[in-house]
Amino acid sequence: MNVEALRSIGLSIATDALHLRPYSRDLWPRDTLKMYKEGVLPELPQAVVWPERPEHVEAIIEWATQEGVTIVPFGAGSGVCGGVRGRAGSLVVDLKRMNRILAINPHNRTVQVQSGLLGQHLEDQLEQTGWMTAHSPSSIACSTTGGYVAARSAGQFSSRYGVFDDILLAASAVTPKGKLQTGLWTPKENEDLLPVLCGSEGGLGIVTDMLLRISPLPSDRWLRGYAFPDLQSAWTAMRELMQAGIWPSVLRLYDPVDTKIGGKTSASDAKSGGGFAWMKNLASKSPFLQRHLLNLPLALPGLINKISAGISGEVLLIVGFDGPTPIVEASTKAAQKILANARDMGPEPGEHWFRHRHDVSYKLAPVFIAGAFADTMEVAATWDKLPTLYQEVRAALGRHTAVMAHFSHAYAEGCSIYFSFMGRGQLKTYDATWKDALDAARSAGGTVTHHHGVGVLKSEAAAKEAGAAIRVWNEIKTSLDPDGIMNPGRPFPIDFEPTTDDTLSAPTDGPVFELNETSLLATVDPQSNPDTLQTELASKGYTLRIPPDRPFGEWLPILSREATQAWETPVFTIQARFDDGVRTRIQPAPRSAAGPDLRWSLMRRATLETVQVPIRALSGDINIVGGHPHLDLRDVRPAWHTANGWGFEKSQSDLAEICHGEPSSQTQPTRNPKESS
Amino acid sequence: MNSELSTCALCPRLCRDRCPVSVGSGREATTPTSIMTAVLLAKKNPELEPQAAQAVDLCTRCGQCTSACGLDMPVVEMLDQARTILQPAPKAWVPPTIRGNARQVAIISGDTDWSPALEKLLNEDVATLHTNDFLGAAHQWRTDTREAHTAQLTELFKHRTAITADHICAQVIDSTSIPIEHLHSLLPEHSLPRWRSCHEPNEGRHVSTMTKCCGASGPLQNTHPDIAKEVGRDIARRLDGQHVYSADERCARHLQSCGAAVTGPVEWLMSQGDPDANR
Ligand SMILES: Cc1cc2nc3c(=O)[nH]c(=O)nc-3n(C[C@H](O)[C@H](O)[C@H](O)COP(=O)(O)OP(=O)(O)OC[C@H]3O[C@@H](n4cnc5c(N)ncnc54)[C@H](O)[C@@H]3O)c2cc1C
Ligand code: SF4
Ligand code: SF4
Repeated sequence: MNVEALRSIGLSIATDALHLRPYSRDLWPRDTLKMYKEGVLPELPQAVVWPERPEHVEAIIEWATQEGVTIVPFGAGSGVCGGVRGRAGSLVVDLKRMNRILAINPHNRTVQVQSGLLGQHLEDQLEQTGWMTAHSPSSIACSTTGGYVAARSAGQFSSRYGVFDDILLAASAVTPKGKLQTGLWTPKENEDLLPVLCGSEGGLGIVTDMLLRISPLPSDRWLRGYAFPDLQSAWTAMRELMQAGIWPSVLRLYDPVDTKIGGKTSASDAKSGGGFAWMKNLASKSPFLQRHLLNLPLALPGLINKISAGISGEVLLIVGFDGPTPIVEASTKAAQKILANARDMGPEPGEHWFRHRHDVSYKLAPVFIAGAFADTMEVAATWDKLPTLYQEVRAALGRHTAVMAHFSHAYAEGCSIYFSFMGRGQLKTYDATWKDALDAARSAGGTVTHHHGVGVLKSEAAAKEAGAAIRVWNEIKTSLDPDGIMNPGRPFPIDFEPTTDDTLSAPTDGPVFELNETSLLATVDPQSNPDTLQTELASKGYTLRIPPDRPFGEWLPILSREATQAWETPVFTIQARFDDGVRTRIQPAPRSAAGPDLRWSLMRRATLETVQVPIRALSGDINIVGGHPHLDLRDVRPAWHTANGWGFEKSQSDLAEICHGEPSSQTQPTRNPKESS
Repeated sequence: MNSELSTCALCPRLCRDRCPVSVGSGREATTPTSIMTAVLLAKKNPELEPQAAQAVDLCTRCGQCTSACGLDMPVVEMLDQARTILQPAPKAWVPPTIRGNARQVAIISGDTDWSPALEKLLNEDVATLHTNDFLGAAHQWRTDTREAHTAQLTELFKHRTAITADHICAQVIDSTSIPIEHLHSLLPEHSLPRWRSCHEPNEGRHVSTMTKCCGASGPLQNTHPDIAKEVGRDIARRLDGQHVYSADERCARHLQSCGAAVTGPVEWLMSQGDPDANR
């Protein structure tokens, strides 16, 4: 590789081992295990380059295309699945010198940033101007905005502010076929490829800059802990909180093991935010305990998990709201009604979590130092499938490791589960654990990844999850990266033969094919007139949560990024038929990071057969036309919007008491796909 | 040491947003995690020792990592220990001569001898000491030479007070019990906005997004001058043409060489109160 041509245009490049070694891997625990336990050093890339401007990125990709050199985009290497590995012969492109905020626009509530900016630096600088994106992954200090796009990240306040996909309004990337503008920046005649760029893990091009939603810093924050007798009752409360449309910023439920071992139902000694706190507590007592207590769960995971399974007792749910004071007051009042049967533990567990929410990241090292491995797996499913997903994945992980879990990133339709597990420091154990767990997640109807992305670890599982829709990826990949130089094998394995699902058939008995009353989702005919759908749904006691002004099949493909709020998802599972008769179904469950969101491109390339859309109960709606002298309507949840102000349904009467105004009999307005709400 | 090294080497680089070298250069090799990994790997593979010996100098000794770290890992001390093992000891230190008998000694570490201007300002005699190795700082940056070097310095400055405008010299003096004055604190007030450098009080995690160390400190600038420049250039870009004052002459000079408009205490002293006089 002759990199002199790049040096001659003023780019910084390194080719020495000192600077290359850190680019040979990310934070995938398997590579850590291999390096420290087995002494195997990963291969080094050929060179690393630090562009400072988008034009530099263009020059790099042009040069690499001519030379046939493979490119690996690198953010901060905090990925945990092996997404960045500067393989032999490759050129790593480290984006961290492209770390500027380009424009903050309070009027439009947007910020334009470069892709190498660390999350913490973005929030620090926004904070000084009174704004935030509120994207707060545990890795905020050590990850970049480009990495968030590429691996479809989710932050700790996602339930209110959205996951990164939702916060992202537009992005620019450089591909081997030139510049790609997506989202709100998509040129008029072009297809918007933002959903495919998100989750592409460097496989299409290099993201250079992006436009993000911002929110005002919250004037109020409310956090409280609630103890429930068991998981089932806590899940019900979480679901009701999300479905009532009161959108907490934090909903975090610890399973019995996590609750018990962390001592979290005791407000006085609540430990820091979950994860590996207990392992560290055990290990830190003494070298003797470190050796022997860590060995016990590792040697006998089955026994330990059995004892854990026998742990009954309370589970802890942390509930948080933030935003403008009137909203927080209204929301907490309504939430307390739903939480009335739980044991109120006061603010301490929640505030303790908030103070220590990033501490868990320090707790991995002692486990590896003790010769074991620790890892995490984040899956998700709709509420109806959540208990099975929890049991199945927990059992699979528990065959090899000691395991516990918490539930966070809640949606009206479902929730993600975050498993933390620790096993013997052997690659054999590691691989068997993951194989079983990924299989279990798929067979339980969940997604194999909610926000950690795919990397090497989950590439095959993600490809299976995509099914025949992977054709769409292959087509877009070939058109933007015909020589396959961009991060080969990410997110899907090269030359993966798309799997077809023979169980899929043409839907019958529409226009409402299926009603999922637990998760408030209806699978409907995309060709059906919205009025017909509403009539049919009304007969069952429901209404569309986001009523379109034309059939879903016409409305969804042209939906503008701004037409929905960050926290609104207009569509879930879709089924479509390609021209050759092959059917495919993409089931985001309710949200997935298993590669890009291929639904939007699939809609344009195949005939939509079913769409699953959010609904809500009709149960005697009233809308209170509200308004608050100091409130910007954009801070109000869309579920509360009316044409003239903000308001509530009868089921939210607690909220209604707080706002001013008279009851009205307004019905919800329909949504134009191009309108900004 | 091994367990401390491993703690950083296995850390997901949680202090990288505060490390001025990592932020300014964007280079992965400069994060405390990568540096400690290099040291740890060299312990197992002697052929990697030359890389590790270079890696331990990718640091300005600013201490930001420790203040950001949830475990308070003593990175600077860990690197001093590693340097002792990985790098040959420097030649024995020959203390420079102090010229003059005054109690206060101006330590001149750059090209400009500012002691006459200080004498004029204070209206009293000032002794001078010229140093071209920052008072033998390299002897303080390892554990085997530190004690003897401290004794030499203590003997050299017996009954005297050191005045310095350079924070590497200040750090060296600070590690002894020799009384010290910073030139900046002897000067009249000025109206330029203040650029706070790394050795001034930490204002907490969320206060400033600009990393405070300009790159001109510790072993970085000697061993990796190009990377020190990258750090300075990053800060110059962030300052975006704004003219600022730095309490440290070394930072000011370095940032100037990277394209920033920065006045330091020596320039301020020499310009007799007009910060723009020398521009
Ligand atoms: C301790 C810890 C806690 C974590 N907590 C969370 C969490 O709470 N939520 C969460 O979502 N994730 C979390 N993660 C995972 C990780 O931080 C995310 O996956 C993050 O999005 C990766 O960002 P990065 O900048 O480090 O990307 P990298 O790891 O450098 O790269 C990730 C992938 O994106 C590609 N890529 C990076 N930048 C670009 C670009 N500009 N253009 C194109 N492709 C690019 C890479 O090639 C790679 O495939 C955690 C990780 C750790 C270690
Ligand atoms: S100093 Fe702390 S935060 Fe930095 S690498 Fe070491 S353990 Fe991690
Ligand atoms: S002391 Fe400063 S320069 Fe050195 S590793 Fe820590 S933060 Fe980086």
